[in-house]
Amino acid sequence: MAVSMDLLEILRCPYCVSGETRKEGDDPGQLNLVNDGRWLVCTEPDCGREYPVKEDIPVMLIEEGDKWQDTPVETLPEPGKLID
Amino acid sequence: MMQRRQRVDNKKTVQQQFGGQQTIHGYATSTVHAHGQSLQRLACFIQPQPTWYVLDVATGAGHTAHLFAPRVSQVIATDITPGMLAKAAELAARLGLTNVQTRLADAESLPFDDNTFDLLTCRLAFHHFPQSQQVLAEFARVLKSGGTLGFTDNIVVPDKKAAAYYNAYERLRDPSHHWVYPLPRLRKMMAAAGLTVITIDQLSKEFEFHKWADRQNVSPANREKLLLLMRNIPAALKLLFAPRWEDDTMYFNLWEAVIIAQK
Repeated sequence: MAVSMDLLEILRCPYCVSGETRKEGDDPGQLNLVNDGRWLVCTEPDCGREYPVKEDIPVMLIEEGDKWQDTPVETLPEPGKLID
Repeated sequence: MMQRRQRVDNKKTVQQQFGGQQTIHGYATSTVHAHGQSLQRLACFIQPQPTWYVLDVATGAGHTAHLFAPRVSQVIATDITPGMLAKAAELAARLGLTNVQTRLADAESLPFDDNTFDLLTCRLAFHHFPQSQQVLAEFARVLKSGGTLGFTDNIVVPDKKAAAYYNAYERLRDPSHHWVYPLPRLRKMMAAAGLTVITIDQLSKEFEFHKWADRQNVSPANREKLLLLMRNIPAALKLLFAPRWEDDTMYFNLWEAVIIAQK
């Protein structure tokens, strides 16, 4: 099942939307879907976290976003399988 | 405040503990998890609407998500363990549920906009969360105003020494177990998060020791320790555990609370 667009609309960068690291503004942590729907990129100017969509399942863990922080979008790899 | 590195280690323990195929199968088929009384109680207390967006946090094999899916618009099921999430998605497909989507996510930092969900469920998972108050703050953040929390977890007696003994017993079986709280503490934590408790139900459930230990692949040495701990339980836990020995095995009880709260 592909990731539906209306459900992507409610998805946010967990680092920028929750807890002590929440960014200012009334709707922080919005994401852009890039690379044919395979990656989600946080739009906050000083975040740079990127989250893979593995087998249609977005991996929205801060640790995962940290791994790919500030990686140029064109060099992001194929996200791969959910279970290695 | 717990250090981030320690929190990451705790989460890795959960992923390891629940990521094995045998464990995933065990939770997918476990009577307590797939057909437990608390699941029926949630269904009884909550009347979902066809327009609802539902979030099931720490879904495990997805039993709670699957219960509500046929009666709502969308269900998003999250878990921190990829294997569990894959199982939840597989079972949803097998049940013909086309409105269940899954997200790998941490309950302490939910990747969702504020005021999004009409119902948030979290069943038998809260005892795994090291930053439990932060988890409740996240529940309140993503729930719509007036939205419903459908929560269940094991509970312990308020006596602090007995509670420590209880939690040591649970952690010996499952190293990713963090803490089971007494009911008054849960109520206070929910109130502090801005969640108003509407109703509470409590139930007792019986376990056969080895089946319970099998679900977490407990070693023979630790089974011996667990049985010894149960033979020496403090008086304050006798009513809760109510252990009985029969046919070379041991049966005992755990208490679970079902809490319905509103933002």
